[in-house]
Amino acid sequence: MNEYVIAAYVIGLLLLWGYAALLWLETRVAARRQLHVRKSNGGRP
Amino acid sequence: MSGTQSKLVRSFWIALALLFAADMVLIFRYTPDERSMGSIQKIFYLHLPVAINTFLACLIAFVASIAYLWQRKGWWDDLAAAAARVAVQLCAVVLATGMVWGRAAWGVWWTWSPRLTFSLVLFLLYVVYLVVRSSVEGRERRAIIGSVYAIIAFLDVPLVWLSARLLPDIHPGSVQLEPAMKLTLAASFVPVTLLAAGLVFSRFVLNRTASAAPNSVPANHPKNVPNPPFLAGAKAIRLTDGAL
Repeated sequence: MNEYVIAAYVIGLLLLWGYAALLWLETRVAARRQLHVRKSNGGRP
Repeated sequence: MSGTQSKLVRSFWIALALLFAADMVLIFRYTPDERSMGSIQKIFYLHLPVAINTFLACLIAFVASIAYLWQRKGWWDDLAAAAARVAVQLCAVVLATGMVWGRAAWGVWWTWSPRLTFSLVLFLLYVVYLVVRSSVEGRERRAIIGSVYAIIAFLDVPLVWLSARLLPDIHPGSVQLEPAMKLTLAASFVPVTLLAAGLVFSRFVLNRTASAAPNSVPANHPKNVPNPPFLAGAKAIRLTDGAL
């Protein structure tokens, strides 16, 4: 397999799935933060 | 997000990863090499679907921005911001894969041909959109400025699309494919489009969460404590309510 093809797919898929992983992490952080705020505010959002 | 929704989201991403893996097998094991370019042409099966999805993301940002200016509903702005952020990511992939392909096929990483130039301009336009949004204070003001900007930025999409067709360009405007290659290309659109949709949706949900809770830090959080006396004249420490 041509090394340029491998490079293109590695870079492309890393950029796409890397961003997906980042969003997943951000979603988890947001959910935890909401939970923390709710606890601090006595159950209110 | 409830437990069932979480499971659904997780299932979606796992199924999508499997779909991508299947697509890779299809591209690298079953699709024949193109006669003149050889295996380098296989970059096309990632490059084109991502490029088309970049245009779609820009279109979503454009339509959502018009809808925001028309209806003034915050979620249109959140959708436009989400689509623009994903458009930047997708455009980065288009540029990166295109550059590698260019190096292999033309011998240069970059050339200022009309399509490549308009593609770079598109990427920069949406990067600036994100920068502008993050620098404007006030949710409504940011939404209005962002919407107007996104509508203007979208004008570059037809230029990218038409440039290789109407102007002399090293980048091909259209390609002839064998039936097996057409099938692989059509199959490659499925995972890439689903991924782009998943990214826009995830970003949109995050934006909505941020918008729904403008000050999502508890009242007793250290960041909300007023300035100390020696900083009394300084601008009060405020938490941003912005979402990209």
